[in-house]
Amino acid sequence: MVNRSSRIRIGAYGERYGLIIIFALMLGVFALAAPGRFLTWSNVSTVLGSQAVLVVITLSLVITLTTDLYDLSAASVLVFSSMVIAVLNVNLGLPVGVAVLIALGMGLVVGLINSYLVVKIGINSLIVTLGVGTVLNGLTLWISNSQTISGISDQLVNCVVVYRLFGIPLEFYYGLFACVLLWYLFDYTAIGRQILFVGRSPQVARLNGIKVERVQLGALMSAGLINAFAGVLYTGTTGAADPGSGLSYLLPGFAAAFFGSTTIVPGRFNPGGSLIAVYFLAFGISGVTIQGVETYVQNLFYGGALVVAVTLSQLVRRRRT
Amino acid sequence: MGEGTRQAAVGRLCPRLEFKNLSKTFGSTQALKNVTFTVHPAEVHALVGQNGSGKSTLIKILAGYHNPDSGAELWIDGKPVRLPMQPGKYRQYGISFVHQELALILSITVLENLRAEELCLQGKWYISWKEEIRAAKDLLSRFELDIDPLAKVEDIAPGSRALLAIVRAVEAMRERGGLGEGGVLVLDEPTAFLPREDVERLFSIMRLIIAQGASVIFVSHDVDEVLEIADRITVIRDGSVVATVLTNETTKEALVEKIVGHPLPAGHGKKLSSGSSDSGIPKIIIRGLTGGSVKGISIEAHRGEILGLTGLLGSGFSDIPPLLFGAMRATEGRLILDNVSYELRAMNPCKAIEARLVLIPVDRRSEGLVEALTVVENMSLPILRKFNRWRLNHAGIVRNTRTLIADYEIRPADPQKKVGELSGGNQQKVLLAKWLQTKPLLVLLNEPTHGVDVGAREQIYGILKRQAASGTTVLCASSDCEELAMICNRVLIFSRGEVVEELAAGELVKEHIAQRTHIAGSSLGERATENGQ
Repeated sequence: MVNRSSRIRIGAYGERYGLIIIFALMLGVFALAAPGRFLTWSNVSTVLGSQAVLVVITLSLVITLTTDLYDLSAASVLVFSSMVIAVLNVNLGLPVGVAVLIALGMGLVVGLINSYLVVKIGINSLIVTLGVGTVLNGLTLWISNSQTISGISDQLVNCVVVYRLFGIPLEFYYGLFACVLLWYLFDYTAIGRQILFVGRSPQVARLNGIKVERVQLGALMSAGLINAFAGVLYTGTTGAADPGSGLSYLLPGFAAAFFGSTTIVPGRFNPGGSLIAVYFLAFGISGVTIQGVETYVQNLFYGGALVVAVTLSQLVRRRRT
Repeated sequence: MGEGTRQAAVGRLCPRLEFKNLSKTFGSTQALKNVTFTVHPAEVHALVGQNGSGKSTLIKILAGYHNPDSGAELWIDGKPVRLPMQPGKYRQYGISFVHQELALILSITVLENLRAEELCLQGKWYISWKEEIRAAKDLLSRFELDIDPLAKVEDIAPGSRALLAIVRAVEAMRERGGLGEGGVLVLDEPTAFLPREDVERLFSIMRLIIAQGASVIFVSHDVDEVLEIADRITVIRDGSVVATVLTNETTKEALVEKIVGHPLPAGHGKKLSSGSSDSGIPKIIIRGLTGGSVKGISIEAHRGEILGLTGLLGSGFSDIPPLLFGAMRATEGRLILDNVSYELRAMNPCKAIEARLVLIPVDRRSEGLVEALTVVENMSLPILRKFNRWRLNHAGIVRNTRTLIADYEIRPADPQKKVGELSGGNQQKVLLAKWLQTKPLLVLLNEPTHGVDVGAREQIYGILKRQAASGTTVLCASSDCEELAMICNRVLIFSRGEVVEELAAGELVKEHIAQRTHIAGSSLGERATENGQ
């Protein structure tokens, strides 16, 4: 009896912290395979600093997925926000702070449009965000003449990647802060509970007096805002805005969100798990790249991780119900 | 073959379908005991009985959904059929079912529903829609149904949907050569939600089918309808066949007596219009409530009273809780609660909760609780506002849940257990604890012990009585007469959306409630009661 319950407990711990243990093992293996190159502070801080955009976009997906909505426009909002900043700052000469605020406001507007179509009109979120995202891609090409715009104010670049704390660019801390904030919101506020119930069963939520539509609206609007913020970080990282490359954040974002739902709070999309998942994938790619493997490995890694993660989370859920 | 020859065959030759020695045991309860059930060619054979009498078990065995106990025999057209019947095998024998849920897809057209099986399974490489539309129009007009084949099913009247499902079943039977040579159409409570004129149309369809030589098994609650359409009637009570009678050799009173199992008492129930003799001012007044299948009802209840609402399927009693709570849209009506008046048309769950109403819905799995979340998460939902919304005190919430778990004797006593891992009875206790901790003024119950084991049932009754004793009013919609007899102070009986009878404390005996429900619930019930007085 004691034996059995302790085995169950070990199983639960294994489920909860399994990814962290594998993460640690992976770091060990790469450290041994490339002594003095992989586990150096400069490599570690580079990897930590380079993933803030992905962390932030993943957090926005965690919010929408928890509400049982799919936001395929996430990366499009990111790119559009980035381009809005570039056009306003470089072409029109607006102060970068103003440009950033306008870009964030634009994210809210996109969230509002998404939620109007999903919540009020009742169209499937997958379709709405696919369409809205494509429209945004078109707008991005239009306002940029399909060109990369560089020369964005140093102020932004400094605040994102140049200034460092403990050798790590500030943007890492922005991602970390957003993660802590979302974790708090999910676990320690009534709003977090409402999001959870709306996502799991809108009918139960409604009969419990939760304003389901308002929660869905809030989720899509905050997702828009957060994606626009990811765009700000993206612009700050490169000092430029290009109309295409940011779109490739969508799949890794989903991969990390699903992968993250297998750890920390197994069976639920959660900010902590997502953060770990992002860095698990990033260090994995860094490790194999240092081994001299070609860059196509990135696609293998993210695509494979998405499929593995979804399979794992399915298995976890099945076992638990 | 002429009509005459076929009629002559009735009762002379082998029956179309015959169950012998049919028993079915679920765990420790015997749902069917040694049942013999015979359907002749070209007859409407009604199967009647109370809720839980075993009617639907019999139908489900015929559909291959349940396996009967060994020893059972099924004969079709004089040939033995191997039991258990493989699911779907009934088709080969020309048997067709219309279940209460109708199994229509609402979002596609009438035509696609009608021809679903043929279109999906025949593997045609070219579907001639012109041809299909013509065939569907033909078919619908043959049954005198004025339905556009290209309309979506969700856009046609609910009554027409039921008829459409029946036409489809008949058509399926005909295509397999069942009609006219051994087909059996099984209708499971088809009239429960139909308005009277659609019942008439249904009956004419049934007569049409019989005229073509097929048989109909008609499962119903409604004694008057059964007497109107059936050739023979089999009554099932507590899993046994009480009697099989010819319709023209029985009366309504005799039939009801067989259904509920004891003779009718001399006195009838008190009519609602005579008014309540209870002293004191009613605390809860419902005026002119219309919505769902309820038509302009008014109800008054006192503080601390448990008021039962019952009736047959489709009579509207079960719509009262969701209508009051705003979970279902009311078209008219007011609720007056401790002198505060609420417009029910504008009611929604948020407002209802603010007015201190709680609803324990009938389907706790899809409406009451989220099974994938834990007991503490489910239970704390309505009281989060009592904690700081921006800094939830998890320790306090868990402590509160532990107290409730102890008070309501929920097993296992683990706040972190997923609700889906609890038994039905414990889930229901979680649901009650969750809402009763908010100290409601009015508790709305819909089948409070549905799918709950006997032990938990007693506990739930205890909880409800205690709650009422503390001054809360409880409205309990239930089709379980034993339950109503055990906990209610009064019971209102519904029929066709209206309250037709009120049973006072002295009359609350299980059998009496059942009897009054059947008398009142049959379509001519009101008239019959009036004549009786």
